[in-house]
Amino acid sequence: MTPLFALLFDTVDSRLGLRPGTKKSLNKVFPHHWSFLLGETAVVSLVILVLTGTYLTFFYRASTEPVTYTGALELYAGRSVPAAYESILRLSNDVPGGLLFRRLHRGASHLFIATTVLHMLRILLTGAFRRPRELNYLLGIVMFTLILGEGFVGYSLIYDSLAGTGIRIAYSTALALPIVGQQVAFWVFGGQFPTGEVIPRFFVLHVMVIPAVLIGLTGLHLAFIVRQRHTQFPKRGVDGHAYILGKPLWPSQFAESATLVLWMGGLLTAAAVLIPWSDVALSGPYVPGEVGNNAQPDWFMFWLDGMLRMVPAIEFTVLGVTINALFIAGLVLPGLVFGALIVYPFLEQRVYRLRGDWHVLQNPLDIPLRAGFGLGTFSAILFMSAAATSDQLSRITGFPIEGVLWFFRVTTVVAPIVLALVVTRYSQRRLARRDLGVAAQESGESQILAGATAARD
Amino acid sequence: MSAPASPTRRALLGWAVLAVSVLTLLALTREAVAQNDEAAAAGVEGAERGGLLYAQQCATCHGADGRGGRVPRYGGQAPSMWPDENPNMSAAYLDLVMSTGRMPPAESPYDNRKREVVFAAEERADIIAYMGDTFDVPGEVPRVGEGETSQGQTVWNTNCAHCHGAIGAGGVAGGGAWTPQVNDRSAQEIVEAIRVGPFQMPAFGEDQISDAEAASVAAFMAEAASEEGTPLGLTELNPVYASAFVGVLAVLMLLSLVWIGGRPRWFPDPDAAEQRPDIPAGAARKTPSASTARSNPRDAPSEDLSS
Amino acid sequence: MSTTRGDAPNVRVGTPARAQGPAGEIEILTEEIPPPSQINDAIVIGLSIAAGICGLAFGVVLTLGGPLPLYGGALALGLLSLAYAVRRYFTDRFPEVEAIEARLQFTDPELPEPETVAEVRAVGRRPVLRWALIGSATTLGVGLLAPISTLGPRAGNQLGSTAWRRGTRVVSTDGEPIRPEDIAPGGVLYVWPEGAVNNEFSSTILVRLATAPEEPTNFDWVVDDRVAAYSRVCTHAGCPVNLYREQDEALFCPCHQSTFDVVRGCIPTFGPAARALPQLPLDTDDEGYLVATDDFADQVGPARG
Repeated sequence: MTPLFALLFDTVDSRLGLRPGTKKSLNKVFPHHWSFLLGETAVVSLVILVLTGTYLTFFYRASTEPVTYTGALELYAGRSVPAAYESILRLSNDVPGGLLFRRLHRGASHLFIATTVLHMLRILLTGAFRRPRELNYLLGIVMFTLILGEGFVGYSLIYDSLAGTGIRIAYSTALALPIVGQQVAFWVFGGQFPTGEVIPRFFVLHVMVIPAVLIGLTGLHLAFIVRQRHTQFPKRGVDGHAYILGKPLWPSQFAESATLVLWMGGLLTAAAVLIPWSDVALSGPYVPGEVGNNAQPDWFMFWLDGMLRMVPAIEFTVLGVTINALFIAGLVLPGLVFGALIVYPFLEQRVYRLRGDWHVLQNPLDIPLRAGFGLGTFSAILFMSAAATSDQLSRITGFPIEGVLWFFRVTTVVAPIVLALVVTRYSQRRLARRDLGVAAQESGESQILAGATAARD
Repeated sequence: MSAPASPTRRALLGWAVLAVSVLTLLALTREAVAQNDEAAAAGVEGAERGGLLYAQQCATCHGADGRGGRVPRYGGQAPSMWPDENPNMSAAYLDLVMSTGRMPPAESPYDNRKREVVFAAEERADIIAYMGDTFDVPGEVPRVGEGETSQGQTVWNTNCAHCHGAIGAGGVAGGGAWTPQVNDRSAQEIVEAIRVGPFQMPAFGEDQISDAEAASVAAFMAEAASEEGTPLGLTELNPVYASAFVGVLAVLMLLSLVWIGGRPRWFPDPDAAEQRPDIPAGAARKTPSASTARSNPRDAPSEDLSS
Repeated sequence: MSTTRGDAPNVRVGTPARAQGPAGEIEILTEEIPPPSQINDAIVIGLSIAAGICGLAFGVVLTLGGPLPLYGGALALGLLSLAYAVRRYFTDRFPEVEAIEARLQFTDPELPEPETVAEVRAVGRRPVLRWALIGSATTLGVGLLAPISTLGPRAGNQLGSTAWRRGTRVVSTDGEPIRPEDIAPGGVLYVWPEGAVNNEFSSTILVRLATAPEEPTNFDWVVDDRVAAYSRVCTHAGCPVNLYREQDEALFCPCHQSTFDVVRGCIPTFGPAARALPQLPLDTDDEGYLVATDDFADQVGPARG
């Protein structure tokens, strides 16, 4: 340690007794793999979001009351627009650095969600959800749901044309809940759409409630990892269940993290200079009764929008309760997707009769159920997402939109099933070739597949 | 009876006849083309030239008499040019479809995405003059005044954005129709389109969008087109194009992670291959492969699981 | 035959093994000392200085009101340079270490029954006391959810009616009343009830059809045989159905592409909308302006569950 740092440390240590804990932490071992950094990338994005978000909060006005714009932008000179939109215009055009920080914030949110999805995919495919980490996995799913909600609420705060349309659709989806729908919609949105309550409530959710819960859950998520230690990829000659092989926190992991933080900041800033994330001056504020063509939510909600487009015209009333396509596409099907994700670890445990703690990751191609489930679910979500771009695709390819939609309707149903079956078969053949099996043996104990050659004592 | 000509002489004669015919044909064609060009360039002007151009480019579908007809190859009916048979007909309409290249069509007249402007401005004016005289097409090509971008945006969002998109980039209208991109059109074309409502587009009368408001819409479109945007030239992104950039950013991030999370070997020690790490005795399990427990864990690459 | 990493003694069978060393202790296996290098040091120092300059440039240009690409680019460059400098510093100045740490084991079937955690236990066993307390705490907790009901009005029949009433004039967004002649043939107009302009639930579209309307259009509600009014709140998810295809005489919703046939009473012909757009009962008043004769007869917008 440098003398200055040593002095600082001693000052604090002599009052808090940090030395043994610090020694233990600094020498903690972290296994190698670049994909283990995905979660960390998400956390760093969260930090960037909180920092830039705090700055934005100083300028944003959470209200839809009409206000006159008096800034430099000629397009809106002297015009009366909703206060939220006006504050965005002011921040983007009249505050130096405002647009950069707005773009940084939006770009970081995109990266946050993207790396969370990739992280979840990595966990799912390599089996890091296995006992004793199911709790952490479920926590992750909860956090993922919160992140999606946070993103939606965040871009709705801008209150431009696209945001208003999205809020209307969310309101209609709440209405579609059987029996309680109308009341729940009125509670959440403050009455019949559009009310003046929506933006202030979304603001509270976006700035206070969800970030607080998210930060708390992230802390818990990390605490679990610290306690249970990280999983690792199998390595010949090393018993990964008894030992972690890797690099210590100081200096190697710290070096990686420090580089990651700075590099990410630089990448996001470069992206913010080159890509106009969330520039909205030309599209105008939300006015009830108006909508723009090419209406989609942000990319992480494409799968929902795609389902809304594809689920055919269904509406029937049974015992006074109406079930319509919006309910099925907006609530039931997404619920099934999340339900499947939540249930999967326990399903795999049950099917393969797994017991004991697992600390070593597996190749998903060695586990037929996981390969099939992973590819099937993920490809389904990809097709649903692609369906949300149907109007752009129609324009680019020249196929009529009706044909494009039918194409997606068929492929979204058929392709994931076919892909899942194909990869499951491939996985089973792969195991058979190496003379392995996943099935429980006579003794009732199960075998892992990635090279089960010996029994433990 | 004279003796038959030798094969060589017959062949030569044949070639000579062929050559003369070809040359004559060429000369005649050149003559015809020259006449046309002359007609176009020198003597003939105004409605007369318009008539010639109409006969060349429009009559095939719309009929020499302007009463319409069957569209060859693509089928369907080309509308009549006479206002009593076709209430849509007006000078503004003609000017619009010709200046945007919608007519005469490059390929299918029903696909409104391809654009190839065939007529220059004077030719256009001539054709309109001709049709005004011959087919009684009413109206005049409207004049466009100054507009106010602010008002233009408001009018745009109320009347136009749901078809042409928030910044006039165009979109889908269903039923095989696309709403074209508008922000690259001249003010003249925009104002004409508003009044005329060509093809699938509804017409907007003066009570709905006044002349001043129409000019403002054109001004707003010009503003939308003139935005510089980022150093990459991008202005606003709709979510679909934004998602493509998110993909690019995600890929860059993944590459960065591989770089950061991988092991850097800037100046590798040439003796490194000889080093064998000592795994603690306790780590060796009593497994049949225990004999390999002391093998170098670096034998297999550690970065990538997938084979 | 090359062995895949699957050959590792990677098997979890039977009881989990115990770690040998105390959990949390690490043991360094290999340590690679990087050779000293002037070039590396120069790079680190050079990049650090560059990053510092970029950071200062960012601050200065921003404060002076420079263009975004300039100060944004400076910031990006500074961060990227510093990132690289940090990395070089650590990789070239610190040994590369491979270490090993024993894991914690959580489940150990070899242990007897888990020991109790608390030192002090209750005197005697009266479950009813415990359950009374827990039960009442739960009920109290449920009661504390009541303020949620104050977040919005009680759900009644608000969605069963709009602002249209008998005799309400049809007005444009500017508030001007409308005569049927004002609409161009094949044209549309976006209208509202008088006094309720921009009331989203009441948004309406006036259409002057080119062809005669057919069943199930209500002909009593059509003016001049051609002018009809329909709610433009999409019956699927509530987006405004503003896009009118003149030649097809069809309304098209840009959100999820529901298509409605205006000639036939706006019944849905494509897309996820299942119900027709409700038709507004239309008539003209004494001065020739368009008025509604009643509210919409059918549910406006998407259905409630």
